[in-house]
Amino acid sequence: MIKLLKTAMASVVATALLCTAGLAQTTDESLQKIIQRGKLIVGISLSTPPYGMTDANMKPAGFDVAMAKLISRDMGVELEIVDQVSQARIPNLTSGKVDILISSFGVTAERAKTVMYTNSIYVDEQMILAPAQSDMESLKDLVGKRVGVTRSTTNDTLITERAVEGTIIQRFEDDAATNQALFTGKVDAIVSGVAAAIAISKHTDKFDRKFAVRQSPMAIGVRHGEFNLRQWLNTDLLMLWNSGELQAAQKEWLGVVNEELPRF
Amino acid sequence: MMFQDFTMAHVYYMLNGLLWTIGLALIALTGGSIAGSVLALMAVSRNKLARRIAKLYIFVVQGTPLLVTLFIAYFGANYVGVDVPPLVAISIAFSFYAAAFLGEIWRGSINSVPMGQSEGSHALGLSRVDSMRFIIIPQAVKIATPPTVGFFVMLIKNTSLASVVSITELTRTSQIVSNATFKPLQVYLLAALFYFLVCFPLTIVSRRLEKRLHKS
Repeated sequence: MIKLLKTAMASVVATALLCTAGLAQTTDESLQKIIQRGKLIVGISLSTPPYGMTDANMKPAGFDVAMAKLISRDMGVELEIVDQVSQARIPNLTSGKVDILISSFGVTAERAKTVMYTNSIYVDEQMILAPAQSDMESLKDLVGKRVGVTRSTTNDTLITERAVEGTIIQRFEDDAATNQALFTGKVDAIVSGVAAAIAISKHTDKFDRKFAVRQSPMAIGVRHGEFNLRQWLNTDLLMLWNSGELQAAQKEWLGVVNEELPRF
Repeated sequence: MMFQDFTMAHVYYMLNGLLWTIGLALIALTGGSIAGSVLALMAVSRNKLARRIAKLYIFVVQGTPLLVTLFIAYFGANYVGVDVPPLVAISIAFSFYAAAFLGEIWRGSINSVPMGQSEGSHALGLSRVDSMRFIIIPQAVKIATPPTVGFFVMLIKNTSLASVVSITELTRTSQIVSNATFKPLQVYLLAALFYFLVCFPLTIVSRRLEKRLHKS
């Protein structure tokens, strides 16, 4: 009886060992899965021009869309774009609704606890934009002023962290509302990226870029653990940089070209 | 590159969003009405357990925001390994939500029919089911019409939350168009007009219905 029990226990232990060995050998199939499916599903916010927007025919357009097209072309798969509101970006990725995020996705250490980033695809400069006649040189000059910012963006995080006490931060739901608040004088200044600032100065010369607050790298978001996919994306970003297509996309949509992109 | 003019292409795009909004509203109204009537009947039944369950359900669902229910239905299921398509998540979340409110409105209406009515029908020898069907519910419908339509209108406007689960309905198309054209005032006024055109006829129908029920 005891002998039988011993054999049984031994076989249980052996099976358990085999299982763990099997698990350890399991490869990361994140990239293979997409290639086999023949379709790359990318989450992009289409209400964030010039990153994600719609063209005159209401087709997806913008820098993020251009990047998604280049990447799916190089991967040799079809592209499916899933429009998303900015609050749904990370849940969409972590719950597996989309494969990757190319969604004006600013790199932060906090977000990196939940998702992985590829090398950056664009480095934005976050700046203060205000009426031309107003005098602002540093964050201290914003005390007592109403500063507009779009909610749950890296601009929001930045001003929330760095604002000097006494600054009145007003948050808006999207960039259009934030810009409109500046145009109509509801706020004295806004926090904005370079591309949006360029777009505004094309529209009117009543507003100036006052000062830059911080560099903000943007990257592609990948689920934790999907290293093969991330490595492939990094390789492709390098190739797109070498061919000049990445810079061309930056030039076309953002109006500025980064001299170099940080890699990590 | 940026600041497109606000053109007919944008208006068509928003109309397409309006179709989604109407579709979502129909799903929510149908699902909510079916589940809501079951809930209302449970709430007025003589079975203590059924009453308790209905009460607890209404208590919990009325106390949680629709956005949270939607998030759980759409993203939550994925964490336990089930992929729920957006439309299914919406149908479930909106039906659950609408059922709680409609159930409570209809329970209230049934209860507000004077006691004498059910006592009278009992005295006439009608069974409980027959008395419900021929005496109580027809009178309850009259009382329930205005608050029900009011809730329907609210539900139609609540479908704007569907943008969280990547459905491009009217509010989301308005956001996209407003951000592409930087003309939020015109765009959102148009969106408001579209919502009004959907909700207003409902209010008119409700008035007519009320008048007709009053006569009979």
